Amino acid sequence: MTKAEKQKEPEKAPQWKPNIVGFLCNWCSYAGADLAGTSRIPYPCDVRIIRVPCSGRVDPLMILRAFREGADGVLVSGCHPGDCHYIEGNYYARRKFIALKKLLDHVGIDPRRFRVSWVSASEGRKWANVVEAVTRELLEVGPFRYEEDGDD
Amino acid sequence: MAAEYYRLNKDKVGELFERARADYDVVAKTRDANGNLVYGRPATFDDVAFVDEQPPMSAKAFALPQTETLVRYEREDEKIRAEGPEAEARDVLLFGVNICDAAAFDIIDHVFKWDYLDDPYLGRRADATLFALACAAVQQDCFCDRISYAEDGVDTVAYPLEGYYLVKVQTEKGRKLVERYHDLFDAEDGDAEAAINTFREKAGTAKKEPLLESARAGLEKAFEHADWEILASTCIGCGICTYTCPTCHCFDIQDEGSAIAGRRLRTWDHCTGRTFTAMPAHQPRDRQYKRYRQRLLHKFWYYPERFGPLLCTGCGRCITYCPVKINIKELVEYFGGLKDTPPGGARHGK
Amino acid sequence: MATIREELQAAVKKLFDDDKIDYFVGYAEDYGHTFPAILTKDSDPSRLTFDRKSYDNLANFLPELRGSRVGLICKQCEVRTLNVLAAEEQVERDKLVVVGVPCPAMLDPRKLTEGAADLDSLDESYWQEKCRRCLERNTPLADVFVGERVSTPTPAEGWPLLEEVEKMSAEERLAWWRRQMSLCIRCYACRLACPLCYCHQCFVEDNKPQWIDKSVAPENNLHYHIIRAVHLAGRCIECQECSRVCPVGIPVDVLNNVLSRDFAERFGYVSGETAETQPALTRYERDDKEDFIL
Repeated sequence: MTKAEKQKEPEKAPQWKPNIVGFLCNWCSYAGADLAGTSRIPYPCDVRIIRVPCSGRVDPLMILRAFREGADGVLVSGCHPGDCHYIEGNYYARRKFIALKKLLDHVGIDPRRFRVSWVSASEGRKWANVVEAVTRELLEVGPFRYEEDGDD
Repeated sequence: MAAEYYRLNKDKVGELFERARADYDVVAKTRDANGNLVYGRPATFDDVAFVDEQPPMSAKAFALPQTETLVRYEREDEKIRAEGPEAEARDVLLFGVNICDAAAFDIIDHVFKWDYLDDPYLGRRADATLFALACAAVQQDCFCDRISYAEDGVDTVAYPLEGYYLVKVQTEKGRKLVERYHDLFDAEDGDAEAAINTFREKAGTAKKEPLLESARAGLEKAFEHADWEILASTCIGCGICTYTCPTCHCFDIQDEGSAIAGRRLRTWDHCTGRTFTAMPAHQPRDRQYKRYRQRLLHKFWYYPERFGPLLCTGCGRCITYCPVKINIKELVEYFGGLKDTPPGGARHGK
Repeated sequence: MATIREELQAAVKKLFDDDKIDYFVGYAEDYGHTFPAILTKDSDPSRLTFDRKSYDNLANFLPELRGSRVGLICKQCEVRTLNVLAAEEQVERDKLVVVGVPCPAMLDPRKLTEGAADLDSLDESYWQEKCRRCLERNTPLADVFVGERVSTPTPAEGWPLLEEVEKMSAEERLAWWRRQMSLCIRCYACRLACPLCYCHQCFVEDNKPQWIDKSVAPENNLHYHIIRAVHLAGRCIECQECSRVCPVGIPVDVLNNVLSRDFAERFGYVSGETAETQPALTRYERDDKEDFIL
């Protein structure tokens, strides 16, 4: 490699890490994440967890607000269908997320930025896998910004 | 200053635009992504729509932007840094703006320099030169022929006559513009005012009696008129009439950000909305018709009472773009006693 | 033969004379426009009309008149709206007199040029998109019907503008919506012209928490429009009033159509088809397809 080529090569930035906001239901996924911790399962630490009473509590507004506040991805996690502490909260949530998902896809926001998972209180391993998958995907997608280059 | 008159050859307009771009931040009509007419910053004269057609949005945003940062703040440890709005450096030239848009600035200047001097507005206003283009024909819903607003605050007005533009220069700023590009302008030796009057008669923009100013005496008695409730109840309370209006100037102050960093900004607000003034207190007008009545009376009674001119230039946008086509002119005439029949025939009958 | 205008005016006069209603909500023609008008028995009904510029969804005025007996001109658009409102217990049907009309298909104001020829003769190319998909031109639910019944052409398939946007790549779509949203002035006319946006307080007006920033910027505007569409998910009856009223011409109904089409396929669901149809987000099936869940 010549000197000139070397100069062209961008300086190695510290590896970018995605900001992920996780909305976790109190009864299953939060306990599942807890279990992953107490079981000493290693997984990426890029998810900031917000505990909510139920995945049904998660309003699409919260998800968009998270993006607006700088999240690169949002992960919502709740009890498996049929296991909801409030019997049916996650069924309603599922329909809401179908709507939001459809719209985000339509306006061209990468579908990998908004993920939903069902993680029960006993699935510490699954939680670690989900976070790992979501983080890996977001590393591929990169930081979230609406602005086109040179715009505004 | 006394008005001066010049001729601008029609094929020189492009050159005027191109050369002005070196000295001014030139704003002109152009087409947006959907092909609609807007005031923007076209890069070449090919993108300029030098026409009298009215864009949906008036030109007021160049003196009063829809969103404007008043102060930015940032906290570092115990220190807080705050910065005021950045001054915009360049003189703006509003090139080919409609007269109804151009004349509005003089009207709303009153409120911005009244008890409090609004520096951001007044700064931009002082830096702006208006080069207006007179309409060759009245537009769909406009009624400037019924309002005697002062055109003499408009720096220059170009009247499209046969073969050339007759340019009427009315202010020092206007004269500076013409002097800068004096080789493009010729002296006008004919009876310019007569030519303008003939043009206005033909275009349908000559003043017609009765002017809407004369409705004020009637409006002052009509606040409690029972028909407001029925005629203004179709108002849906959106902001179209106020946001497209060249003279509506109300704004709201909002904060965005966190305890660490953020900004205070002002955004347009509209008296027809249900949360207007909810920030400092509450919206005192509990029904939609009262909110609509407020807008109308502010324009045709309260504002002229305080400052003189009507808060309206008759551009007609609030009729054209109103989802339910409430017609402010008809309502002023009806409640002001110039007309006996209510628009659409609706009466309350209480 | 009486014109629909005369028949309508006579029917309204009769409703007032028989003391069936306190208010009549219809369309009046004056100063070159057709616009919604609320009439009382002391009003002059001679300006009432029903023509191809009777755009507004009149169900939007019902909340303002709540508690009164109201006569309402209903096209198919209003009927579907009333069905959704009934399912959500927002309408007092016993206080409502539905005046049915044969709908001649509404014209798209953006396609009308000044001084257009005889409006009655304009063909399909001048119609609003929704009218091509109309299910029934003669008002079902009508308590009184004026005019002569017309036949309903076979509803057209497809969503032309939506499909055009979908041909783009994800990046192009984001850029396209960003350009559209840069035009938005947040006048909220799309929300207020919608007869199904009847909340007393809207999320855009909240300060604490401030869901949507008040500054007018493409990303804020886009968030507003996305949430507006979410709130209409499975409720929107595709009257397209939101797009018609937009002063800067953003086709905001495309976002609603995304969900209308998807819900139709996914849940076999047409909003406002009957008064018993429950909106899709207020119910669920245990085996709803969850193709995107980890």
